[in-house]
Amino acid sequence: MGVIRSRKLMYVCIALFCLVIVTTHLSSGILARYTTEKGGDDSANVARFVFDTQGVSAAELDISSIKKPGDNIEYTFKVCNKDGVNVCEIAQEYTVNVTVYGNMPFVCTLTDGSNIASLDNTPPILTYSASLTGELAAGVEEEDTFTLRVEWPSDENGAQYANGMAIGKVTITVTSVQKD
Amino acid sequence: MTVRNRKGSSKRVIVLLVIGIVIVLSITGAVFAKYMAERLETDDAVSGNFYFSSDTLKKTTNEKDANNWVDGITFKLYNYEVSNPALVSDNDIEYSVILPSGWEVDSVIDDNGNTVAKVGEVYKISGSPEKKYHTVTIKPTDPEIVNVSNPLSVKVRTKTPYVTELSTDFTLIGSPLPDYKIENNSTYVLVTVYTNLYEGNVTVNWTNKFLPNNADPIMSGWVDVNTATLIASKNHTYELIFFKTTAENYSKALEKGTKTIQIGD
Repeated sequence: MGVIRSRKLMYVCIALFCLVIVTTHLSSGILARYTTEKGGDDSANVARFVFDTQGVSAAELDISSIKKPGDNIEYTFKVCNKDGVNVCEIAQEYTVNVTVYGNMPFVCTLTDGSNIASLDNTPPILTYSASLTGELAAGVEEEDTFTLRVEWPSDENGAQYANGMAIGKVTITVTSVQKD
Repeated sequence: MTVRNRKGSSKRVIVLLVIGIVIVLSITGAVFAKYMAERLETDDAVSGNFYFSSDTLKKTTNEKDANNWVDGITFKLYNYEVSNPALVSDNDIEYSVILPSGWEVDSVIDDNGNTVAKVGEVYKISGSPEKKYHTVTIKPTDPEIVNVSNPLSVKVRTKTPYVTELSTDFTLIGSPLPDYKIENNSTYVLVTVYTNLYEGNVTVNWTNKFLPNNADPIMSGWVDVNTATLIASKNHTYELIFFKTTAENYSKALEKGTKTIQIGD
């Protein structure tokens, strides 16, 4: 009786093992593409994942030049799936998020040319954010261009903001994930 | 093979299979994990310095006496804090001067002595963050119609970079027109004229019951007429004697704010 039960358990385990192998094989085809080099050795490389933003740097995102009502900056940056010569082999979807902190009465507009996300911090609410999303195809070099305009409206000119009493911080976060 | 050996063999196979499954699942998990990347950039902004002050106008309610206001009232506007000159504005300042009707800005002069032109309704203190100032003079369009019993409210409001306001209520000292009175004496009447802030012609009329004292150089030419012009200077008092041709008494209490003196009814 015990022998029969043990054998049954072993068969179940073997079947389960086979299922896991099959599933793994199928999944690898869906989620990542493997390349194989011919030669004496066989090897498998995980598909290349590349994501880069061009122009996103503190030196260029210079909102410190905004010091009084009427000042503004326009900052253009790109989201791309190429890093130097490497193009991403995986489709990705990304989110560009702009968050503003502080009591400086900023009005921000983020656009990718066709979509617009606006943030109006007048009167200041200390923290607020807006975002846009996009996609980059697999294996094809693609880039999307975004423009962020940050403005201190000239009519938000109460003297209570002067002499360092208004502080603003702008953060751009670009997050990309592999597309399902 | 005994039953015990067979059982032991099966157990080993099961253990190996379980280990195999765990390894395969671990690899699968790694494959299933999604790729993710994140870029983050941030920068800060802080508002700049803004100071705007005056030698006369204040941010709080205040009053000042204005003497000799007919010739204009002058005050200075600074792009720094006059009580602490180390505090200077970072940016140029645009402002407008707000006056009641009957008053106007006569001139705005910068610290180099140049006239500052008005653009629209706005003057600009240029040159920040250097210390600069403007000298502003305001004047009545017609001093004679100014009601000195009302304080003159003067406001200066900045437009850029920030809105703020300085103001003062001026108390106008002195009348824009002469006052006069007539005192009776036995043989003459004494006309006393207080010109106040007025400068110009004062018309003097008299009836045949009075004759001007032609010995007075002012009235030496007032012969065979009943009207004459007194060329009055500012802040002067003139005393004019008119001899009576009758014994009638004649006098007049102080009459204010007139350029015409009437002697006799």
